[in-house]
Amino acid sequence: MLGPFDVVVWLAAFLGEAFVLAWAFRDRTLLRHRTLLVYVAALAVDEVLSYTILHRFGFTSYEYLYYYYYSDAVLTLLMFVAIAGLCSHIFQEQARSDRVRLLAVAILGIIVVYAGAVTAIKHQLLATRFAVEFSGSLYFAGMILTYGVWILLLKRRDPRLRLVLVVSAFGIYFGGQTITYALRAILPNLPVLHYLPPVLGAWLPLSIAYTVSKVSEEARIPLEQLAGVW
Amino acid sequence: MHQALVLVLASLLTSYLGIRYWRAMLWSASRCRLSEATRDLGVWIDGPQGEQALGTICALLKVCPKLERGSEQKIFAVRAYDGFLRFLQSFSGKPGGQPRPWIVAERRACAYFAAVLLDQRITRTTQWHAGRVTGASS
Repeated sequence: MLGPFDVVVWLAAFLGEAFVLAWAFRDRTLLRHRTLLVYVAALAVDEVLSYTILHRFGFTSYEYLYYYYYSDAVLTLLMFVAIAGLCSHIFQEQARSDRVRLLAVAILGIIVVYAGAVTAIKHQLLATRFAVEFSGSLYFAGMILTYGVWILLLKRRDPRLRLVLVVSAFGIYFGGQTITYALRAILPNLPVLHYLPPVLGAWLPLSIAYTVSKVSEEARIPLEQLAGVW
Repeated sequence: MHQALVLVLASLLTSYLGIRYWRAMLWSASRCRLSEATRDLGVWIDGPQGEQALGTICALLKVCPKLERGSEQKIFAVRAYDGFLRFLQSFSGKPGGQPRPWIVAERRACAYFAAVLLDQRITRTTQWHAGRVTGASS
């Protein structure tokens, strides 16, 4: 059963996603990040669908469980595509050599094809234990990949602030989800595990909404402002 | 064992990116220009000992009428971060007793962030007051 906390977090996430999509009509520079917008649109559709299924069948139903893990896998795939889009922006910025570009695209492609193939072939298993492990592995791969994108981003002395915020937001999301899955395996009855996934789910659209509305496409941040703690 | 390793790695990377995200946010928020009302504060923050301005700015924020929502959480977050930096400063000073430059820069950014909030609060209060005066006279 959904409590007030779940409803508030769900509503915040949905409003954040709707805001980003609405903002794209106002700020045309956002259309450069098409893959990111497609991902945010998919998130918004997923929020509505998951709420409908939850409302109709209940939290412990197989329908919801099946939908949750299936949609989670598909959304993670779309997220990889969004990261590929961010990667391509970074490459354009830095005029990277074709070989490095090809390597990065190949790594991303392998992850997407692998994950897509597993989702398609084993979809009948996605409501079982396999789905949990598959999602956990995808998040882990996403975390490592995002960190790689982050390192690429820092190759420039003054990276775009929007890219910095979006890439680090993705990294925090993937890292947080990986922590949740790892904690679930080690301490399955930890109460915080109930709150972490929805909070992380709301974190990503809200941080993207903040970034697109408050930070201009042209804003850049000097590297020394980001470095220094370690 | 495998999951514990994943947990440690994920915690390290997430906190690393979390700190970078926070620094970028703080930097972007502190790029706002201050109005005439708070420009002196900006000069103070940029000068020597400017990193110690946060306390005074927070005191000014308390006496300024508050018309907006949500600024208290921002102030709380910035004060907590500044407290954390002060804690680090007490341990990680250079041999001559000089604080680390990045800590000073970060604390200045905190003070500047609070100054921007104060500036917004003053602007809103002034506009609200001007609206009331205009309403009363018409």
